[in-house]
Amino acid sequence: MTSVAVAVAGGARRPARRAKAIGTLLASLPVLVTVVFVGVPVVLAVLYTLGDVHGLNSAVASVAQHQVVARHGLTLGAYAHFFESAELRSDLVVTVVVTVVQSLVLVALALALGLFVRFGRGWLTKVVSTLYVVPMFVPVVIASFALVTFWEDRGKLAGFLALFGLPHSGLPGYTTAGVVLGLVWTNLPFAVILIGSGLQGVPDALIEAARDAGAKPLRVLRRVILPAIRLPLVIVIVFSATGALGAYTVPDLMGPNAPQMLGVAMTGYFQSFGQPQMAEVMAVIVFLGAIGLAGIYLWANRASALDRGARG
Amino acid sequence: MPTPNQPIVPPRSVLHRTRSRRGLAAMGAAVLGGSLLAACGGSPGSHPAAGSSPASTAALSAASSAAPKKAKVVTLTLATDLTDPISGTNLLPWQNVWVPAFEKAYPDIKVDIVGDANSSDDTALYDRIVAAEKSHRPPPVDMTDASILPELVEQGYGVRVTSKLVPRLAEIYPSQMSLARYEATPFRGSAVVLAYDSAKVKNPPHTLPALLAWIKAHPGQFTYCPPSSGGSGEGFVQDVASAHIPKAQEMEFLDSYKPALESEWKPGLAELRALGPDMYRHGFYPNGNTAVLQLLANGSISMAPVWSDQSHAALAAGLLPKTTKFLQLTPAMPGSPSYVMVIKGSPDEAAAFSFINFMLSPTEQDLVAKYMHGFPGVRWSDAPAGLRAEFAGIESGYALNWDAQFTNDLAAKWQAEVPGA
Repeated sequence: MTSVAVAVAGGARRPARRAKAIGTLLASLPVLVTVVFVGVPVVLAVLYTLGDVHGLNSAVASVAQHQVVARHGLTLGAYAHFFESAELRSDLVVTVVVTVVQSLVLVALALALGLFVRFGRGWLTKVVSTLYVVPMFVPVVIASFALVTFWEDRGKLAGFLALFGLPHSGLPGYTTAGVVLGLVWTNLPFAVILIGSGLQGVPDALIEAARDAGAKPLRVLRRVILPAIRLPLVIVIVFSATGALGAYTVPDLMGPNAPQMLGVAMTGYFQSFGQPQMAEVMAVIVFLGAIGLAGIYLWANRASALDRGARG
Repeated sequence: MPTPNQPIVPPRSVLHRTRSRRGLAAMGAAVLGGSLLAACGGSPGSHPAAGSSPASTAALSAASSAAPKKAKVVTLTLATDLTDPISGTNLLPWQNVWVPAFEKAYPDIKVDIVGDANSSDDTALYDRIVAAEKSHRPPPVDMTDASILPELVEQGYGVRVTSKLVPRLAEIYPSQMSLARYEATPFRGSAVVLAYDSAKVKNPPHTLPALLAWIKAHPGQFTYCPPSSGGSGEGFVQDVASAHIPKAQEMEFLDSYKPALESEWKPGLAELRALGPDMYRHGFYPNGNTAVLQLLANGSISMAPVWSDQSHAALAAGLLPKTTKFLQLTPAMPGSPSYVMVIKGSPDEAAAFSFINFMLSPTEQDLVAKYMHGFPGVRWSDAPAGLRAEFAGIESGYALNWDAQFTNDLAAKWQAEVPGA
């Protein structure tokens, strides 16, 4: 009996090892693809920004204008040029400001909509919960173009305001404020869905208990609801901010001629100004910002897991 | 978000063909009638002959023609990246208009079009032409007008054009022939011109100083696209910058890139910056040639620099008000000719030059004007009368576009110093 049992166990162990090997192989494929098609170009690009124009960078360097070449070793010269340029400094500032403001506006709006749908009753709630997903199904290019032609100086909105004798100057067409609104518009469905589902997970009993104890609505929000949805909040902020940091379509179609967000500026330097090195410097700067945001996300995830562990 | 298909720097050359093409390329993606038709439109002409040698194709078609009396039919191949001027009309100039007219006149010569949808196809074609030459084979195509033409000319891949091969050579401006080292023949052209709504503008300016004064006197009525977004804006900016450059130095910007010369642009850029408050919306520059035409069309502005061919095509298609008129400044704003070349080693060189000569005939030049709204390839004095009538007011020629590396820098400096300041 025993020997049979051992044989069965041994037979089971071999397929298990094979399954593990296949699993590793399957998992390594996407990793391999990422390393080859993302990792290698990233390393090459970073080296190019540091003045390395040899090897695989020689092709791009051969047609580039105004590039900094390291005589030996590496140099931060291209980065110095970036920070010396008043134009690019203001592009960087506007990129950061737009990213921060759009995240704050997005979270405030998504929270308001989420609370309304969570606690509201009746047909209006249903209408709102259907409407806020609409932007998800409108391609960004089309949405941007539609929005900017709607609210530009001679658009439908201005016409409508003029019809009623209302002031219609200072509309957000082709302004940085318009870019913020555009980014909020495109990110809204994702934000409301995440925050909304977080809110659905807050038990009614918890809220009622707080109310029974005499807590006012704002206090309930601050002490009960917000802590419960901390993770979805962080996810919304981090993911939308990462997108905003490197945004191209929305600021290109809806933004002013200057200052430009870095996504637009780097495209100009790459395609029109013949300066791929400066374009890649901007890409690296955006990339570093995104890594910082990813750090926040990982920290929040870990803290939340620890939280659950402690509670469990 | 760089598109891999686009070259980082437009190929550098004295011909500057890529820059002028920007006008047409942008038109292909035009929002005016925006559709992918233009992109698809480039390929129906793609022909299997692209891969095989033209000689064998000619032999094949000769063998298959049953009529014994008929002379041997020669088949030429022409590689092009030209699409329909107004996207969506699906009327391709070479395939549907110019080649049929030639084949009617020359029944013994057939022309197959190899369509290139984008610049990466052109690069592949360039590689194949080089490879064919290195292995002493006939080139993959006999003729081309694609965006790689300047490099081919620079590397000496064109058959030298003589008046024996092309009798109509005498009708072409010698300066345009020497720009292409006599390796390619201009058959059409386009320039940046001033478009205005004659219903609103009664006395349009005819010189650059008069135009600048007009802009200041009519705030909000004028704008142009950023030079990085379209050739019409680039032409206007180059025109303002070159107005402040000593005449003797102007030629230096046509060739051999010397960044030190760029300090000459300072007064021109300062002038453009000072114009900002008087521009449309106190300094708004719409992205691209097409966006400028849209502002003209909806009456937001009443004057702007535009591409001659694109704007005439838009006017003909009803996309601009009927009251839109065009004029060229004196001295003229920049533009460039478009060339077609016969590639060295083509087994049917004589037939190819018959084709090129015919492209310069009044028949074809009329069709160039009709379907492309392009300037004639020949001198204005030799152009058909109807064509001169269409372009009355803007036929005074054009200044030449600067070298691509200079215009790259001009676009970068404009971005930093005009809207950014």
